[in-house]
Amino acid sequence: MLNMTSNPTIKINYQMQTKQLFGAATLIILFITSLVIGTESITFQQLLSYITGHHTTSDFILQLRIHREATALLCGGMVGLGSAILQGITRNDMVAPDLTGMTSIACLMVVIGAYTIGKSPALTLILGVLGSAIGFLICYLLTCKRQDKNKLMLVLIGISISFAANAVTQLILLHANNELDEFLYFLSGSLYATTFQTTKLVIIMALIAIPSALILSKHFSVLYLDDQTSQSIGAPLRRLQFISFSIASLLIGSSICAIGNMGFIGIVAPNISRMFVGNRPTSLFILSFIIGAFIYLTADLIGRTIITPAEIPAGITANIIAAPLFLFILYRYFRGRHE
Amino acid sequence: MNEIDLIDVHFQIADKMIIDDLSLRILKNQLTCIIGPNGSGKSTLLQLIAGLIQPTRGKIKIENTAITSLSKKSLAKKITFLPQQSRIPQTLTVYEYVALGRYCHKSWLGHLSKGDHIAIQHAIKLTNLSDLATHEAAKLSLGQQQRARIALTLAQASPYLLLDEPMTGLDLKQQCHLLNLLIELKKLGKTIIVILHDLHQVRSIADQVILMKAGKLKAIGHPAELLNINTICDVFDCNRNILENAFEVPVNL
Repeated sequence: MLNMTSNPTIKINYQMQTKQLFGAATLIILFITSLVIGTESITFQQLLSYITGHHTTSDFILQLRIHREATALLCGGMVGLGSAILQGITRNDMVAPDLTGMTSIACLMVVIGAYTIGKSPALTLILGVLGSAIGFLICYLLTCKRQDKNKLMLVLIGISISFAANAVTQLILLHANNELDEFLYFLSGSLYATTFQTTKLVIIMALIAIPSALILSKHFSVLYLDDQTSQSIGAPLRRLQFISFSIASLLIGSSICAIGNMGFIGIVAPNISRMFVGNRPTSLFILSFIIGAFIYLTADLIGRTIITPAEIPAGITANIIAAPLFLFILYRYFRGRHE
Repeated sequence: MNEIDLIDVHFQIADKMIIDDLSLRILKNQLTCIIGPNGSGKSTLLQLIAGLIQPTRGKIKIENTAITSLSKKSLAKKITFLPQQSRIPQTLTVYEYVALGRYCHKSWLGHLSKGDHIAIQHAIKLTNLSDLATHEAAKLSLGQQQRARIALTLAQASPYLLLDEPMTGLDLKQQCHLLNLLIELKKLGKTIIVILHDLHQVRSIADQVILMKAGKLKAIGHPAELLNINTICDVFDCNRNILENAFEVPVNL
């Protein structure tokens, strides 16, 4: 019979779930905190009465803040989750959207779209998702056969693509004579330009992409295997890679549209999660989402409270928070390789 | 009778012929050993039968169905293949790693059923890994890792078992254990094709021997007929005197 001793997965699953629940609880507390703290403070009573439908004077501020924080939570989380998927596809822990050219090509395409066709949230979203897919494909195909041999190659090619694309983006923004000023946030990453419509689009994308990612996670561990083993256990390797890549592009592209360049979160969130739950895809995906969301929410909270009434773009504070974490990950990564 | 059929199989990469016009039949419930010098196409032959690579020309049939017409999952339910080298992912426990062998039996929602768990536990028990089930697989010794790989193959529970040099990294005790296990599995109705280098082992377990040389089938038949000094010298291009000594005295066992 199956019991705790004969089936070790039950015990491991229990440990994994505890960690995820703890992470989720912390995230909820942070979310509520960031709703009440700000230039205009809101009390818990006001928040409660808003939730229960009793209207007060601070409704509008609260409404704005809920949208903004929901966008921060979802986008940060989606970037974390998307990066965890990217790292699985490339079997490379040092991969992130901004290191594979996804972010910069997506930003470039959105800005070109706005400059030549016009500004609309739906167009921004489509171009963002398409751009991140194209960025990753260029990078992946250029290094395709050499993935396992030289992991640094992928990152170096990604960085070169990013530099080139960022330069063109800046050129267009400069050339547009303030017409595209609202896209300046792309360069540093900010929630300042978040509109109700952006939030709505992000929520729709999250509702499509996150459940798909969770179903994908049940099949994802075969991507960690070498090609021969995964083929011999009957895994449709290419199809799985394609589906994973599409979901990652959806997740990352749509969050880039809302918050622009999010810097180090992509590389930090999955690597920190891996320290807690290892390479178990479902747990890794959930925790990467939670940690990505946590970093971005904290970054936004700090960014908009530290020098009130002015604001530091969340992308900048996120990088300040994530950079030491990234150094820590690098240290562990290289120490692990030498042992 | 159910079996594997290879009909005029060719396999080449660029201009290099790896498998050259090979036809053979492997009967069901037989233990077949493939032997031959390095680079003679043994591993390629196994990969062709496992459907990992497609022949340039010719046909491979399993139970009278061309393997190209089977889906990946249904092929995996019939044939399981242990590669010569494979990477074990970091951080997974032995149990979780072996569970990957159940992939072809899982639904698209990916949950492991009770039957899956029973198959995994059975495979772990057969490879003597019960005590290590909760250990991280990638951190085990090379021999233990090899046993975990074999367990993954067994968890797949396919009737045809293809093993590419499964003895790699195993100590004498574990080699004997694996030989016994192969004989047991054959009794349970499995058809096994295995690449071995130790001719004593081949002689003690094989029902049929395939001799390969330079991509061609040199000979196929019962080990008692084929494993004699003349054939072996011919296939391996060996010095007869040195081999004679080695052949008379069981050096490896």
